[in-house]
Amino acid sequence: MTLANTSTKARITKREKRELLTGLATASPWIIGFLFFSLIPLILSIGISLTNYSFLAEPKFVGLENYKKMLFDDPLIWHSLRITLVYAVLAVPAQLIVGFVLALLLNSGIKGLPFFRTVFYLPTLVVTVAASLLWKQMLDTDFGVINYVIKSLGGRSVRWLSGGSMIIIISFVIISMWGVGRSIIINLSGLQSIPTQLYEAAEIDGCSRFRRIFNITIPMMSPNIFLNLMTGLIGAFKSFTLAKIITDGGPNDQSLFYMLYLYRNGFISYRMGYASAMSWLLFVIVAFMTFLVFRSSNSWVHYDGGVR
Amino acid sequence: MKNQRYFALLLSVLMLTGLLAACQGGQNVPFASQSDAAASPAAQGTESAGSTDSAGAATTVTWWTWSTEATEAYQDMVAMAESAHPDLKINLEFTGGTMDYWAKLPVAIAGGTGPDIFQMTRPSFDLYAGSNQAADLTDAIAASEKLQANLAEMSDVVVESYSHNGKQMGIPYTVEAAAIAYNKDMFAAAGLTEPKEVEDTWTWTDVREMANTLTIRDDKGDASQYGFVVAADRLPLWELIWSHGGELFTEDQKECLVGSDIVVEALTPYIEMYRDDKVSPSIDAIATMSADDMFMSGRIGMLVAGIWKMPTYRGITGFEWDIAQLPFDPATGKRVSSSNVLGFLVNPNTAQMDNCVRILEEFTSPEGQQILADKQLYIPANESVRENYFKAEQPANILAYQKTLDYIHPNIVTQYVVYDDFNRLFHDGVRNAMNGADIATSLKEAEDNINAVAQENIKNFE
Repeated sequence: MTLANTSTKARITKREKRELLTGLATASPWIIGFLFFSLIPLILSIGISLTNYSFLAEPKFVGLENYKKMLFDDPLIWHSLRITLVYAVLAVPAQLIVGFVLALLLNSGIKGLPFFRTVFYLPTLVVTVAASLLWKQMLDTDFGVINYVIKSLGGRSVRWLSGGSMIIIISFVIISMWGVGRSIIINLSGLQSIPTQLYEAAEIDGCSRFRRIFNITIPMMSPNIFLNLMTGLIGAFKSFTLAKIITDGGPNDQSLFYMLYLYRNGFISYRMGYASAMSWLLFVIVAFMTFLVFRSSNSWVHYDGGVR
Repeated sequence: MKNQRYFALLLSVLMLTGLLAACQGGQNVPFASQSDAAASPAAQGTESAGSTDSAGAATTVTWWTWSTEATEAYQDMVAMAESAHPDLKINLEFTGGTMDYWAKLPVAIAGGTGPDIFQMTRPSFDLYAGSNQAADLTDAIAASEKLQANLAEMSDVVVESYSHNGKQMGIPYTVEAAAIAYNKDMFAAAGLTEPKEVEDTWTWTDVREMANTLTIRDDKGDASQYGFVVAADRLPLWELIWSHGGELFTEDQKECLVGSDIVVEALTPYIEMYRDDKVSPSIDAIATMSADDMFMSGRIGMLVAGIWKMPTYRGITGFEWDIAQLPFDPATGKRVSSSNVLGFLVNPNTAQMDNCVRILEEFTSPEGQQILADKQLYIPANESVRENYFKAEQPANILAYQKTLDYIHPNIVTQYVVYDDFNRLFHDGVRNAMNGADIATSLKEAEDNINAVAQENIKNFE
């Protein structure tokens, strides 16, 4: 009887088979792209990371030499990881908070919502390279408009892009706010889907506006916040374009993000074996952090009013 | 709502996968060809080591370059070569820029899909020649009377700059020279004699004095006009080192010397111009707004300018400007101009060696080189056809560059450190010194860092 049931469940109708094939055919460009440009290179990179492959000489098997050098003999690995981590710690919460607060303001029934929504979203449509070049000009020490304003107000010039790792990271965090419009739109759609009766009930119970935000809005928005946190965190560890365009890791490696260092090793210094090993270290770190965030989500992400 | 959880998990996994794949991503990006994208090997998915088109009428030979500024000249050269050899079709492909070029080229050659002919800059030549990324052209030259005749019209220094371990592995086709460009109006306003008038005798000490006179500061000490651009850049660091008698590397190219006493001595006055005299805009300012822009907007009195800058500077309308030959080293009485000789290399995997040679015969012939001279963009390596290059009306003292060709030093660096790595590490050391660190210590640190890279790479080559 059990066997018969299983057999019935396993059998698929002709229609289902046709739908499955149609689905696979429709998704095939993505599947093929994923296989050939992501999955296979990913697997190959394990092998490459065990060689001294450099394009310019015959690759030799070096075992775990690249990993050993990376973990014990290359201070720039930890330097670039530290810069990336500090950036992630500052940029991700900043983007979450600013994105959330602006979405709250836009959701408070202000007039001209479509206009403001467009205004906040527009910067995300500007090509990153163009935006980076624009910010580079604005943050210039001697001729930038931001220092011009600071000096006009009686302040002193700030070396935004050369005054040390911390100040460069802060500059990048400020620049990253440029793309907060995407997060605003996601949050806004989430806010507008929260049932209004929850707020009405809270109001009848005498809840202050502040408490309503903490006891209704934030818990109900936690899945959105979780999604933004996860994508923001992984995105922060993959940061590359800003640093490449604006400082190229300099001056003197003060803004050497991990991905930039990886790129430099792979495509400037032609150490593809070492760069592959670096990519696996980053994979492990990001996977671990993702795991931690995932585990923590049990206690703060609520789906349909309940804890997951 | 568990689906949302799984969706987030799936998204995370995909993003992580993309993160890993990023390391491999650049390898399959096809080139955007300005000449004929459809005919490019990348577009056809075929190997580029020469191919005959579908009609069987012409054989396609692919040439890669990054020099978009030379598009017109290169297209004319292609037309000339195709006209001389109707059975050949040259597929001229431009990369997005030098950065993309150096990232793609070794990958393409290693993958067997690289160009048949590719452009080379002299500092990177040894690396490619030493790692079997370039074909040995010695026999091909010996068998080609035309190539021999063309090379005979070039100076020995230039021809030998593309030989490696006794083998001729590239064909030079342009040379470069550096000079000092200056704002004539600023010199007149300051009552200074123009550099052009003293170019046969002036030294770097004179440049320093002039730069101090030209720099104008307000009451707060903020400069509204700078006398000179002191940059941590090849120009003029190499000029200063070579004219003082120093070297970048030992003769076997295995050991860097930028921390040696003689190099420290050569660079100290230059670095002092920046940090003590403060005659130059800050490193930050130069990084954001290029020195060229500052010069062209009338904020700079003098700067070292390669000949390739002239087409840009001809756009200056706000003031009068000119050039002068480089100054002499005050101690040795010598002057040297670095020269980035451009050359053609041939893919060692090409199946079109004969056709490549036929094309190079045309490109380096007097007719092919004349195209470069007429466009006044590059100085042809072939000395017999340079005249037209120096007929340009601007700058008035254009012949200073011609005279400079008598004391050029090809930009030979090392086989064992990638040029970008060398520049970055060396310039980091110079920048540290400019920002106040001890000059000898900073340069020694740079030398150690470069030597560490060299030692690691030497292991791969041997």
